[in-house]
Amino acid sequence: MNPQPDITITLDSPTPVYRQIADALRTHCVSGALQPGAKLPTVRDLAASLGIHFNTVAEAYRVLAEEGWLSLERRRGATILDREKPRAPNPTAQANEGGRLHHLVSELRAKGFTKDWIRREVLAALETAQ
Amino acid sequence: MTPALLAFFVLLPVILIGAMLPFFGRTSRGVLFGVTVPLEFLSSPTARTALHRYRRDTIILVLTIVAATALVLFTEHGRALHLATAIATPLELLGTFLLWRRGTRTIKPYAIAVPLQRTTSLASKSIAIPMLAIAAAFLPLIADALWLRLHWSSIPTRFPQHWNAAGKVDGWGTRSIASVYGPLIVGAILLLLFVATSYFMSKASGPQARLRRLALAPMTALAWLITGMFCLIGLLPLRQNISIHSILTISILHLLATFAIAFWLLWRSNMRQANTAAEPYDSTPDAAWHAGGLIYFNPADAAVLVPKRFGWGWTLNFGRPVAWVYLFGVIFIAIIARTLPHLLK
Repeated sequence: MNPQPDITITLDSPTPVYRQIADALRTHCVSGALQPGAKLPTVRDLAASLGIHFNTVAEAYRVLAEEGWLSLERRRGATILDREKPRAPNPTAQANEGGRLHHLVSELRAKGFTKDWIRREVLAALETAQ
Repeated sequence: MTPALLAFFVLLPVILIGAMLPFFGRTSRGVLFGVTVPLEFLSSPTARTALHRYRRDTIILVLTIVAATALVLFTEHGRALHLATAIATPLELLGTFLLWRRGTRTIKPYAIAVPLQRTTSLASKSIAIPMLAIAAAFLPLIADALWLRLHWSSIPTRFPQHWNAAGKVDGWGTRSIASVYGPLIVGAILLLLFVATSYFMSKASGPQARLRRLALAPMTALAWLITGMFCLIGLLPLRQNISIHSILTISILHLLATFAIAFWLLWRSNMRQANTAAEPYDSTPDAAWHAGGLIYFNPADAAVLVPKRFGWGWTLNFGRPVAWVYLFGVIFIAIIARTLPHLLK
């Protein structure tokens, strides 16, 4: 059995903590670090470990459940689901997500990140995602 | 009760508690006297001197109080004796708290902010409570109750139920439901309190999951101590030849064994913890601690129990409503356990 991965949050980040948790868990799901059937800590346990309010963790779990990554069962915690591969996105969705990616690249360039750095990070992220 | 035996019973808690106090200065994960400091600061001359002063003065304080209490025990009687036995432990605790506050003042200038980045493993941290072992502690009480019910007619109409400090009977029970079953009911209520405490311990915050699991072992031992004591007391109506001294001796030996197990487990766990660099800092912010690190109030923290900054173990997070419910529950149970026998009479 694979050891469960870690999760890191930054309390003073502009990204809300629930979003950081959801993003980190999704990344682990996509990379295969969290396999279907893996059990996650209960909302209260994870919140207590991170020293944050349990509503924050509950919100992150809810987001992932809506996306189809998690099955939430009362008192039994959260389980990673064998998520069906999404169908090829339609052109509108592609345009929207493409726009988001362009905005992010522009924002990073405006902050002084080099093109090489951005290219390297995007390729690394693609490598990680299965 | 002989003066030597009385002295032993009075001095034992003073000595046991006093033996722990010198270790309270440095708690886990980069916290010194309740202040979060850089890890490298812990080995600096300032930190070492502050810790040395605290330990030296605590040992002097404890030895002085033990010696003074022993002197009073062997020379005084009556009110002075009662006063000395009543104030010895509170004095120890108060003195240690003041010495600890002195350490806090010394260390405060070196405090650092709690790191805002937090990492935890996604492995489930839930700790299985040894429920079976604790629940089984109810069985002897139930067996006792059934035994008493079966031999109801053999119970004398009047039997000894309470003893004074000298070991003389000063309270008698009658063959009534309240007198016969009262001690067993009190024992069962105390056991319920242990179940609630064990549950919250299994859900406490902090990375020391292993330490929590270890702490549940002495808790289970204490639950069985309660059962053993109340079972023996519960049998008194039928077995009046059971002496209160034997009950006390068995209880003290059991308590000492529990302390020994707890010390050994904590020591072993601390040794292992010292060898791991993971999560070196306490994630609770200094600002959420009040009264010199005794009271924790943080509504933004989900944990009901958090690792203490003064002493070992955990303390309640008063920012969580359930902590207040638990506290009032404990007070309520303590009051009920104390008054139930009188109410039922």
